[in-house]
Amino acid sequence: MSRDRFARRWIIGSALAFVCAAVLLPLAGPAPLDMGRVWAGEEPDWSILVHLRVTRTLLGLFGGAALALAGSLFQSMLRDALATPYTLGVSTGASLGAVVSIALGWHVVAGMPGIWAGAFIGAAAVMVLIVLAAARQRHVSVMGLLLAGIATNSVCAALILLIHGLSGMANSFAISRWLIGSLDSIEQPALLAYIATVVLMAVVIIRQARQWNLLSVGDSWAATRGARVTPLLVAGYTSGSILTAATVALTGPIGFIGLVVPHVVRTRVSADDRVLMPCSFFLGGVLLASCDAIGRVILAPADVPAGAITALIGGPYLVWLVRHRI
Amino acid sequence: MLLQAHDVGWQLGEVRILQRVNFTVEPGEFVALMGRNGAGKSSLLDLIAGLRRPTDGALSFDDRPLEYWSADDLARSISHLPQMVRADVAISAEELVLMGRYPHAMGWSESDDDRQAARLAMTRCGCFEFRDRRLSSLSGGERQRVLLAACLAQEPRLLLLDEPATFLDIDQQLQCFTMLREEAARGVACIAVTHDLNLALTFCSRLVVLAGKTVAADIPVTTAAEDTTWLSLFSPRLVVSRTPSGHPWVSYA
Amino acid sequence: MWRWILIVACLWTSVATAQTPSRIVSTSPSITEALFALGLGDRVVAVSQYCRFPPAVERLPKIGTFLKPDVELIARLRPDLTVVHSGPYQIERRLEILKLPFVTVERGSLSSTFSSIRAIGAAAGVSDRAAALVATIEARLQRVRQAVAGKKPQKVLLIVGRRPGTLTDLIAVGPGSYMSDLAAIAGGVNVLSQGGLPEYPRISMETVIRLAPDVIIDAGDMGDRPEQREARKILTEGLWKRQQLVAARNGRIHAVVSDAFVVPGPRLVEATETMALWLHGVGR
Repeated sequence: MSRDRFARRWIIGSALAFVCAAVLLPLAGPAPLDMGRVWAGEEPDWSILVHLRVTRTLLGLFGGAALALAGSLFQSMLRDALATPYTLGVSTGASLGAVVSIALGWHVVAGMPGIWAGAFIGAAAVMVLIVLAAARQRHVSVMGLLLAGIATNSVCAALILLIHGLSGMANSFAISRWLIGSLDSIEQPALLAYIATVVLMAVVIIRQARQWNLLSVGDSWAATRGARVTPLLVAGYTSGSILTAATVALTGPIGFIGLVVPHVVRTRVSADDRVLMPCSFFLGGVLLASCDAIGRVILAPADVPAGAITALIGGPYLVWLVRHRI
Repeated sequence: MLLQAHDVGWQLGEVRILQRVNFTVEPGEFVALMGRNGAGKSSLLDLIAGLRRPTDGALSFDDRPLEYWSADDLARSISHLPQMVRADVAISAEELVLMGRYPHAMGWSESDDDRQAARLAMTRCGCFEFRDRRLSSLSGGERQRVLLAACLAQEPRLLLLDEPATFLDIDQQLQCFTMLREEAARGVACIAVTHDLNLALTFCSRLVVLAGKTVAADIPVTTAAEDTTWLSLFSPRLVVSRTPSGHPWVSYA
Repeated sequence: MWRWILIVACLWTSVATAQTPSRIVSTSPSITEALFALGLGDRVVAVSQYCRFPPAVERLPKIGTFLKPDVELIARLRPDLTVVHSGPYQIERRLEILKLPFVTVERGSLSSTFSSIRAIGAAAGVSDRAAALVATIEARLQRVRQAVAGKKPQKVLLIVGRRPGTLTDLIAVGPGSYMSDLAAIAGGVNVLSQGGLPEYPRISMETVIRLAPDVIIDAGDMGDRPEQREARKILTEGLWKRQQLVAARNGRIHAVVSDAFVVPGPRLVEATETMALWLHGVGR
């Protein structure tokens, strides 16, 4: 009973933090907003708040949520507390697709920026390749996924370096900047489509939390307690990859959120995925949106990319981890 | 018949592990599944648990072929303890034992009855005092007792245990096998893989010995002292005798 | 006596050949353009990967970028002069070890453009041409200054980078960049003039709205291939027109199609003249 209350408290608390961040973080920016003008609906403050700051904050909240949830999912699936959403290759595939689209000069593809289209295509190609490579006689194993993911990561990263090295000046710098990972304001239809995707995948994943619990102990442990391992691994890999690919397409590869947030929650709160996943979801969003807010404010009016801030936080945390826990 | 193996064979790639395995198990039996290393004991247990499909022959549980059972139904009736479980699992002991209740718990979280069953199992296995500790912080023996409790909490009709006494000290081993014998007395069929011949002879009702890729001996424990052909399947240096209280006992020659 | 004449002749020839290198390697677009503007184009044997102007350099061998020149490739070409920029890669040290003659020139500011033209001229034995080129450039810039004198300075925002296809991830020109100086000559004032800003700060659209520039000059998504630039210009202007900005409403968005804007070389005077046209309608 106290366990249930503990869980509920943490989940509600992190959801509240998420909502507070959505309301408060848009107020942070390179220059203060005149709230009187905002309430009166006057330009430009109204536009700035709603079209720029709010959309960017929501992108940060749901992007961080997606990465943290994908991280916790892969950490359970792969039985590896240091797994990240990028371990299984989808992010590098998406990055490769985006880099190719920059190099080829695709600007608008099917009504969306070329980079997004490139990232989705790259991610989809990698996903299919990995599932095919990992499946032996219709049986997918964790080791198979891991090995296929590592191989794909290496190949895609090498291709990215190759394309980067062969590019001219403008493209070369554009590629470098994209690979740092950053948030910016985004058009509302795209943002709504993204949020819908994230929420849908989150529901699909968190509904199966007990199955992920079983998997995190072992494959045979899970199978003899009612889990169907191969469909579960495929479903987990697919939904985690969709979350990661959609986020990377919009923001570029932002690191550490998917590793640090589930790790902290697992250590401090609970390893039960029914608590770990929702808390990681909400707290990951708060972390990324906060890092982005810090980046907006710290060197105003210059804007530090969120990917740089998350690295500045994540790196020392990992060092601290090594010194204190292992 | 609760469990029936009919001409079961299993092959891994080119290598044949088991062939023409035949035996049956009834409720209430406590079977010791024994044999030298590499004889196929774990593989046979995996086949019975439904983790693998036999390449030949058929297994049936409750008079229904095993492949007709859904994963959920099977999980409600059969509990399997793997030979090795990872040590660095972050989940707490109580949460792990509650996983034994997942096949029975329909909703999102376990009911009070489920928790009660889990606590009872933990008490019987002597691991209740560290229920809140993470599995990774427990010693081998403590972890093993938690895993046993998880299997008990599942309230199965068939318990499959691959070396349940691993990591346990003498007293804990005796408690473990006593508890399994109690389960058997309540009607649960237990099949335990073990290397400890004397534990098997003291607590189990039946010995099944695997050798030469098949069942080489299948005898009730009561006749094990007289009919000693099964001993040579293990080592030529063993002799069996009776203890003062009348139990069969294996000693070294 | 003939011996002395012979010795003097040899010395003269060696000095003369040393003064007139015939195999020159350039390691950046601004250096390449300076070399060609000085009439040394036929002596250039290799350029950097980023060099695109004049079109003749497309078929020359490429030796890496100014951030990381490929010393081995340079050495194979046996140049008698390599023109480099100073930087973290320490190209000078590597060239010294291989005993390849080189000259280091500065980059990035208006004065460094002039000093590099002079330095290249001196190293290549065409100092007089260099002085003439510098004088021509300065004269043209002066003409621009005179054309815009007395006119109200226009607030201008210069964008040099953004995420292709979108208006996100904007990289603008800060007060320390030479482009800021060129804009000032052309009668503009950079809206990003706060001290302490980096040379090329990343800014958000919110900052653009607040700074309310009169004119926006966008060189952020020119890409590498000149043929594509006209099409990109249309796309770029379309992207900006949708924003709630003074400059957009007044139609004062200019997408750059010439990389004269982003190469700090002799053509920066063309960029300045174009800017004067955009900012005040004066010039060519």
